[in-house]
Amino acid sequence: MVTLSNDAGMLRLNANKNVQRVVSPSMVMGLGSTSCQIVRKLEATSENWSFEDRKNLAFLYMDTREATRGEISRAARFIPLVLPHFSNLRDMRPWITECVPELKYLSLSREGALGTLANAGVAGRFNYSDIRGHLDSTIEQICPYYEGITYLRIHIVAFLGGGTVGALPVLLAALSEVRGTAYNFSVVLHLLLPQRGMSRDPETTYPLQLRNAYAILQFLRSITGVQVGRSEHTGGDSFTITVYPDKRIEAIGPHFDVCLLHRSPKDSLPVQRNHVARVLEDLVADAWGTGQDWWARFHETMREANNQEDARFGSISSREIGLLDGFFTQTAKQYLQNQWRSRL
Amino acid sequence: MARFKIRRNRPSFKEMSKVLPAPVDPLSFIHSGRQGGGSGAAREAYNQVLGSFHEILADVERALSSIIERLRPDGNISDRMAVEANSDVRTELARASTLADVKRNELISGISYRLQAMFLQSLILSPEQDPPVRRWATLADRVVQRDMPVVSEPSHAELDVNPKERRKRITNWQLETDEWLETLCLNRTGEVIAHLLEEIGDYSASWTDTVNQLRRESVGGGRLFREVTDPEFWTFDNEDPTVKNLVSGVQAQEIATRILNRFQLSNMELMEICQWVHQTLGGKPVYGSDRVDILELENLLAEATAVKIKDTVAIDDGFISLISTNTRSGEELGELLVEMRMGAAAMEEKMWRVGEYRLGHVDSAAGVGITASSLYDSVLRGLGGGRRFAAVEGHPNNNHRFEVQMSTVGASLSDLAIFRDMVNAWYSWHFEERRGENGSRKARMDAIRKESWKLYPDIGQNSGVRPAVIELIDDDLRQVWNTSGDVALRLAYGHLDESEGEPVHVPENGRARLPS
Repeated sequence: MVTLSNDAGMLRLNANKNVQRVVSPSMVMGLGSTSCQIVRKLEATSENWSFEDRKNLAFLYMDTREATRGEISRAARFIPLVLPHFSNLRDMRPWITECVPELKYLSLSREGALGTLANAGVAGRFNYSDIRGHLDSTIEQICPYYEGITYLRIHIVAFLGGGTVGALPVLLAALSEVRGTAYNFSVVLHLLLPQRGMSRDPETTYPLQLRNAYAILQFLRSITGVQVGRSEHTGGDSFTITVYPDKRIEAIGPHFDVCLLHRSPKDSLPVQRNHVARVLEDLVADAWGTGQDWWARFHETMREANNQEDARFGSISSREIGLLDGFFTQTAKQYLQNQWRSRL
Repeated sequence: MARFKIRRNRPSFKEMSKVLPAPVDPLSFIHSGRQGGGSGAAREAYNQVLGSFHEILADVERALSSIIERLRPDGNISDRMAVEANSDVRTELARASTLADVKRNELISGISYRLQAMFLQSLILSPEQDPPVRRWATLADRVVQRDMPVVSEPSHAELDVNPKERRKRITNWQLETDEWLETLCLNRTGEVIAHLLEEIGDYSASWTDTVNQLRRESVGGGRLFREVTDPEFWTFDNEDPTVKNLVSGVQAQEIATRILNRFQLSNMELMEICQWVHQTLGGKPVYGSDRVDILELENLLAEATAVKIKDTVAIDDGFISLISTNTRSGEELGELLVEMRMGAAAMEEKMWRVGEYRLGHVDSAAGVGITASSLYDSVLRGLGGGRRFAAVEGHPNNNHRFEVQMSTVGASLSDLAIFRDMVNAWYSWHFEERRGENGSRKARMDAIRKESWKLYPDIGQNSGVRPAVIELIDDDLRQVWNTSGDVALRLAYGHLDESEGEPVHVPENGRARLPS
C-alpha cells in the first residue's frame, strides 16, 4: 500500500492556473501552533493557484511559540505573542491585571501559552499594536483602497483546547477597530474541537482542553448578544479590553458571522491538519466547486433564518473521492518503466 | 623605460572581432543537432564562446581607443594628460577583467544547467543512445592558456616627442592593449571549455552507471518492475481518511494502461519536467560524484511526469469514460456518491446531537464530468435523500474528484455532542478538586476565585465579559440539570459567584435544586 506524503498531497501541480477560485479577498489567520500548521498547508496549496487568486489571499500567523516562525515560510507574516522579560514590565497595569491578578502569576515561556488562556490574553494585549499594524497592512495588500475594494472575508483558525486561543478576544477587538475604518468584512471562525485520542494524556490533559473549549465558546456566545437567565450581564455584543500601554479598546459587535467547529475524522494530528486544511481550502475558494456552492447556500440559509437564539455556530463534514495524485505518480512510473524496459 | 617592441603573430582583439560570430546563445552548440563533432563543429563551438567574450568587451575596446585618441600626434601633451591616460587605460583593463570573469561564471553556470537538463531528457527519451555530449571532447585541443602580455605605461617624457615618433609609440601602445584584450578573451574561453570538458567527463561516467542501474530495475525482477506490476502498489491512501481513491489494484492498472496508450510527451512538456526536477533538487546535480540517488531521481521524474499525464485526462467527459469499465458505471457512480453522503452524514452525527435549534443544512456536492443526462439523473437521485442538495456541478477542468459536503449552520452549542463533557470538565476544575481541601463554603469560593484567572480570557470586573460568561454558564447548568446527568449532583457543592443568587440546596431526595 502506498501512502501519500505531505508533499505529494500538497502537490496539486495539475491545477489549472487559469481557473478563478477566489473572488472575495480573504485573509487566513492561524492562532496557535496547530492552526498555523493548517494555514501553512493551505498557503502551500495556494502556491499553485493563479496569480489573480493569490493576489486575493493573505496569510497571517500568530503564536505564543516563537519556534513556529521556523515552521512557516520565511516570507510569511508572523506575530510572535511573547512578552519582554518580566523585569521590564510594570506590575498592576490594567492590561496585565485584566488577565492575571498580579504579574508574578504569569508564566509565559517562549514555548507556548502552556494551556493557560490568560497567558495568551496578556501576550495579545502586549502585542496589540503589532496585531493592528499587520492587520492594516495585510488588508491593504489584498484590498488596495485605490482599486475600490472594501469587502473582504477573514478566516481565523484556532484550537479550542489550547492556551493561545486566549488571545482570540484581543484579535476580535483589533478586527472590530479595523472594521470601524472603511472596510467591511465578514469573519469566519474555524475552531478545532479537542479530542480525547489526540491529547498527550487523555486522563488529565483532555478535561483541561474541554474546560478551555467551554470557556472560549461561552465567551463567543456572550459576544453574539444572546440574552439568557436574568439577562443582567448578557444581551450586549460589545466588550472592552485594555491593551499595552494603557489604551482602552471598545470592541463593538457583531464580531463574527459564523463559527465552524471542526472535528478530525481520526485522532491524529496529520489527519486533523489535512482534513481541516481541505475544508478551509474549499471555503476560501469561493468562486469554485463546493466552496462556491456552500457560500451561495449559506447566504440563502441565513437569509431565510428566523432564529432568535444565539445560534451562529455550525460545522462542515466533507468527503472526497477520485483519482489521487498517487495514482498518476504510479502511472508515471509505469511510463518510465515502459521506456526503460523497451529501450535498454 | 617602456618597451614598444611588437611580436609577430600576436593575437588581435580587433581582427578577431571582425570574424567571430555574435551569438544570441553562445552555448546553443551543446544541444544542437549537428552531429560529428569534427574539427569544423568544434571550431564553430569554440568561436561561439569566444565571440560572447568579444561581445561583452567591445565597449571596453571602444573606450580604450577613445583614451588613446586623445593623445593626438600633432597636439600638445601635458604631464597631467599622460598620467590621466595611463590611469584610464588601467581602469578600463580592470573593467575588462571583471566583465570577462562575470561572463565566464555565467557560461559555466549555463553549461551545468544545460547538461543536467540534457541528462534528464536523454534518460526519458533516448536512454539507449550514447551521451551526445561526447563529441565535444574534441574541444580539448583548443584550450590554451597564455601569459597575459604587459601593457606599457608611457611617461610624459616618452610621449612628448616629435609627432612622427609619438604616432609610432601611441600605435604600439594601442596594439599592446588590443593584444591584452584578446589574450584575456582566449584565456577565459579556455577556462569555460576546460569546465565543459570536466562536466562532459562526469556526465559520461555517470551516464553509464545510471543507465545500467535503470536497466536492472526496469526489467523483470527489478524493483521498478515489481512496483509497477504488483497490484498491491496500486492502492493509495491519503493522510486524510475522508479522501479516498476511486480505483485500486488491477482496475487502476488497467486504467493507467489506457491512459498511457494515448499519452505522448511533447518537447515543451519534457523541458518543463526537467526544469521542475532541477528546481526541486535545489542545486544537487544529476550526474557527477555527488549526484542524486537514483531512487530519488526516479521518484522526482515520476512526480513531474505525473503532472503531465494528469493534464491529458483532465477532460470532463474523457475522465468519466476513462473510469467507466462497464455499462453500470453510471449507477455505480450514483451509489458511490450515496455512500459518500452517508459517510459525511455520519461525521455530522458525531458532531451534533439532535437538537431543537439546528437551523439549516448547507449541503453541496460536486463532481467532474457529470454532463450526460442519464448519469446526472442517477447521481442526483443518489444524493437526494431527505436533504436538499445543490445540483451536482462539474468542477471546471481538471479536478479528478467527486466531493460531498454536509454542513450545519445555526446550531446551538448545547447540541454539540461533547457539550455535556465540556460542562463536566469545567465544573470539575472549579469544584470537584476543591471539595476535600476546604471546609467552609467561603474558603471554597476564595480558592476558586484565586485560580479562576487561569481560565477566563478576560477577568475584568467592570468592563469585561466574565459576568456575562458566568451568566451563560449558569444557564447551561440549569439546562444540564433539567436533562439529568452527573453534573447535577455536583451543583450541590457551590456556585461560582455568590452574588449570582442563592446557593444550591440539596433536598432530602438527593437531587439538587437551583436558586430560582
